Formats: sequence, C-alpha cells, structure tokens
Amino acid sequence: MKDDTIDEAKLRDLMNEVSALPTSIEPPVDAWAKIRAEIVKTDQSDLTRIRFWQNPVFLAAAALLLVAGSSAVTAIAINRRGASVAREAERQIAAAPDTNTGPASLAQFTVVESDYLRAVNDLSATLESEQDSLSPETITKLRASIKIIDAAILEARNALAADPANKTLIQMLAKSYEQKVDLLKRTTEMARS
Amino acid sequence: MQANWSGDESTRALISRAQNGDVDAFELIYNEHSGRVYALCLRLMGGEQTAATELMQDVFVRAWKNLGKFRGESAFSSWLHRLAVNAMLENARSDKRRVARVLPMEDTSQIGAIDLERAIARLPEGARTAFVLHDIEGFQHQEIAAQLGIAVGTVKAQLHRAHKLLIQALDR
Repeated sequence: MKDDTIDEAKLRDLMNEVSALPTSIEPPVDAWAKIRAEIVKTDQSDLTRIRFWQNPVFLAAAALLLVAGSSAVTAIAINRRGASVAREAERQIAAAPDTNTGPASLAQFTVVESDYLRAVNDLSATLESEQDSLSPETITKLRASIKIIDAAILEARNALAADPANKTLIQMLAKSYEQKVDLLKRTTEMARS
Repeated sequence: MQANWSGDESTRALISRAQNGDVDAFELIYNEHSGRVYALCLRLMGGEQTAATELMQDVFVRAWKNLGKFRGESAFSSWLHRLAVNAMLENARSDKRRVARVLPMEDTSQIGAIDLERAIARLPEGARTAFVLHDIEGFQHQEIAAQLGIAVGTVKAQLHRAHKLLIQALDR
C-alpha cells in the first residue's frame, strides 16, 4: 500500500522556504499601457451609450413608443370585446418590474397626481429658464414628445371618467405622468451638462 | 501571511477618485497593488509570464469596470484577489489548451528540484491553486473551497498532494 504520510520535519522546512518567497513581483513595465487603453475604450463606449439615451431623437422615439403602447392598452382596456387581449396586457403590466407599485384606485391616484403636476411645473419652469443651452432641434423634439404624452394622459383621463375602477388605466395614467417627469428631468440634465 | 492586504486611508481616497472615473487615480492603485496581484497571477498560471501578465491585466480591467460595486466591506486587495481567482477559473474553463501544460497528478518524476518557485509552477493545477492560495496567500480552507466551488475536503487533499510533491521535488 502506498505511503501517503508526510515527514513533519520536511513539511516544516518546506513552509520555511515558502515564507521566504516574495509576496510581490514586479510586472512587465508595459502592462499598465494595455490596461489603460482598455479602460479608456470602455469609458468611451459608456459615453456613447449615455449620449444615445440623451439623444433627443431617441427621447422622442421612446415617448412615441410608450404612448403608442399606452394608447393600445387604453383602447384594449376600454373595449370589452377585446377582453382576452386586455387580460394579456394587464398580465404584462403586472409582470413588469416596477419600483413604484402605483396607486390602486382613482382616489389614491388623485393624491399622487398633484405631486406629478407639481414636479412637472417645477421642471418646466427650470427648463424654460435654461432652454437657451439646448439646440432648437432638441426643443422642438421635446415639445413634440410632451404633446404626445399629454395626449396620452388626456386619453387615459377620459377613459377613466367612463371606467373609474379600471386599475390598468390608473397605472397607465401614472406611467404617462412618470414618463413626462422623466423626460423633463433628462432634458433639464442635458441642458445643464 | 495575509499581511498588507488591508486598505488604508490613501487607498480609500484613490478608490473613491477612481470610482468617479479618474484613470490617473486608478493608475496609482495599480502601482500600489500590481506587484502583489502579479505574483499571485504568476503562481496561479504556473510561472508562465505571458499568461500571468494577461491575467493581471484582465483583473485590473475587471476591477475598473466593477469599481462601483466595491463598497469597502472587505479590503481592496482581497477584492482584487477574488477577481484574480475568478478570472483564472474562467480562463481555465475557456482555455482547454492549458490542460496540456499540466502534468499528470502522480507524475512526480518530471518535477525538477531546481527551486521552489519552479517546483510550484510544475505542480498539477488543482494542487498548485490550493497551495498558492493557502500556503502563500494565507487563505483558509473554507475560503478557498468557496472561491473554487469545491469541497473543503478536496482543498485539503489537493494541499496534501502539493506538499508531498514539493517535498519529493526539493529532496532531489
């Protein structure tokens, strides 16, 4: 049978030698250059990503997409003949990650709505004072996007008047306001940067 | 033996600057830690300088990308160490060529007794990793097992093999 034991004295000698090994070894001198090139490249791609999100054309497209989706949900939600499709839309909304669970009733939403309106007013005032730092194209796109979101808000509001207990419509209205606040916030940040 | 792996005020200040995108601050961090990380990479990669340099570069690029996640709960050097071991494991999984460079577990006849570093470099990969992390870097069996995703008993067995092979190699 193979002897698997280790001589204690030899193991001690080995450990003594190990303790004398250097804990630090100088890397090749040009090693940092490649790291720096790589991280600068990473930063540039991050910057490109940020610019993409800040691009007014993208913002307008995002707003259009949101409103198009929202309008479709509104149409589905108020159309009883599309009940099965509406259930699917509701399921998707319920399954979507949402940090803010949102108001459950119109009464609750009315309370939240005043906060949204205050935020919209404040941001609009700030943006008004800083719009000189934005390009005319950005301002045009922003106004167009706001107009679309406002139309979606109005549409949801009207639908809710007919069906005040419809939770999907309440959530949709809240999300339209969120989108408006977010769009104003981003544009304000863009004006300040 | 795990000395000097704890952060100090200057390191924390540099980390904070680097977290805000200051590449020059990150270079100072690199200057402070690269020797230690390179020594670890060199030993983990069996003494192959090119592979060790690439691994170390990978570690620092990963560190830069993940600096925002470093909250200071552990020492920065320990965090770098974990990145190094993780990168080494990922590379080992993706680079099958390395298998060919590893000596069979029982093939002690090929281990020369030139010096300890070379003997360590020629250990089978599992034994070498356990030995480097435990006996050189000073990590506990449980920590190594958790990092490598293996049982504590396996770490101990690999360590025992490493001791045995090294003693045989250095006896010649």
